[in-house]
Amino acid sequence: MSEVTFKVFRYDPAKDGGKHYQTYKVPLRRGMTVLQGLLYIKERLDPTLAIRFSCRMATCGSCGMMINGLPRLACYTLIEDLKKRTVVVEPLRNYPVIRDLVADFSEFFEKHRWVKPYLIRIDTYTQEKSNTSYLQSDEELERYVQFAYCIKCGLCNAACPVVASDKEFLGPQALAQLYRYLADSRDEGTAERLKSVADGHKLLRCHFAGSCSKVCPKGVDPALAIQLLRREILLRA
Amino acid sequence: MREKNIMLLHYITGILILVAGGIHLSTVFLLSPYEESMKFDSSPFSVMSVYRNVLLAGSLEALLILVAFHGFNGLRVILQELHQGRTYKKAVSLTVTVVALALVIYGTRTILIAHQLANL
Amino acid sequence: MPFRYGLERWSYTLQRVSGVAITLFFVAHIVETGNVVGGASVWSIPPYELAKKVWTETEAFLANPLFDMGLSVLGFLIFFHAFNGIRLVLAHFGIILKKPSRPEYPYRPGSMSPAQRALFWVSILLAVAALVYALNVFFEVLRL
Repeated sequence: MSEVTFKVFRYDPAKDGGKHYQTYKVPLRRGMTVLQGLLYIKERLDPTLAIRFSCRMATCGSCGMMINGLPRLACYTLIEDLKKRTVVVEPLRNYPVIRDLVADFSEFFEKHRWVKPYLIRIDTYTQEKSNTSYLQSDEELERYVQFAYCIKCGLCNAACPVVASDKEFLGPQALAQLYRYLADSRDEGTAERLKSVADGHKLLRCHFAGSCSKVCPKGVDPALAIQLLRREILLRA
Repeated sequence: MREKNIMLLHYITGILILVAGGIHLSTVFLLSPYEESMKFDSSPFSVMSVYRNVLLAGSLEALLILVAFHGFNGLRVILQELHQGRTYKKAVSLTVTVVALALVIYGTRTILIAHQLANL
Repeated sequence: MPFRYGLERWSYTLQRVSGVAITLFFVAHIVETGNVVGGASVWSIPPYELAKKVWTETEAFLANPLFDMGLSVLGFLIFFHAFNGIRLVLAHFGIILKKPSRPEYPYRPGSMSPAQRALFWVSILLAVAALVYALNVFFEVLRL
């Protein structure tokens, strides 16, 4: 049975604020994920390690981190697949770090809230009080359902080169959700959604680098959503 | 101007540059051998011959304006992405516009003078 | 350094680098051609012989193989930027991308469509062709 070396980023603002990497040796079992390695470290070697995780099955979006230089979900990444004897684990790029591997997602959720991720109807009474259901055909569903699979893990924002330098850019996650509600046939807020991103850096600073779609663990393809959204803005609003 | 209109212009100028740039590159490299194009006046596509022709000089002028807009708008986008802030944004837009305008004026002067010189 | 994010990230980087390089060349080119009819202080028609003299001097200055090499690389950058730009316009309007569909494992994003990637390689090919053509014009590498 072999071993793998974990190089983990450590940072504790409460103690001394120093950023350094700490090495641990973790015994390797077949099919072991990076999350299992980190939990082994936390249980047997160093209980002060701070990590975020929950479902262990790539559906909650909590365990996003930079693993060997790319943003991945720790529970979804097999150590064998990395094909290296050393696993370098760092907190997600482009997010402020709270402690060790835990990133601050408050700005992320603010941007998500800004795009109004809910159905906007002109007649709010029917939406809130009545018993009717909105009919939607299969074709209408196919137009947006791919983008509804987002688990808000934040890997796309970590990969995006524009999010790294531009604070006003909304980021692939928020923009993909904007398009998800725009393309939903039940939504009636088209004009205001389009107007909100037609000016400024919010949408138009995307340059189709496609890194977001490359790292998305659920196949949401935010790059596609953003280009389709851009098409709507440029041709309509 | 709203950012979406600026972006539309960026795409349109890009496509038009394909045409005007194609003409410019053809006159220098394709329609006549490079040594002949580099002569001052003694061959059909030499420097002065191109300026003499109203259509070719006009296409050069168009290329000047289109490339100035497209290139400096590109620089503005890159610079404004690297740092945000109201004064910085205004300063970048102003500088980029002034430099682009200065280049267009200077280039137009060159084309007009060269055209008149060639037709003396 | 972002090396493993895929083709589209490389295209974004090259497009930006080539754009900045071309703009800087553009500035130098306008200044250099403006010099031939007399520089920034001249706003009326100069004598013909002066223009011819400045042109001959500029040509002698530019006959350097370093500048020829630079122009060839610039040819590569211009052709790449132009054809990649066409690909970007088509992609930005969603024309060469696949339609949204339900994600099936292994997820193949519709934005990374074969059509769009093929156009990237076409741009690289045309840019290399332009580089070889320019090298041939300046250095006669092909002896065609």
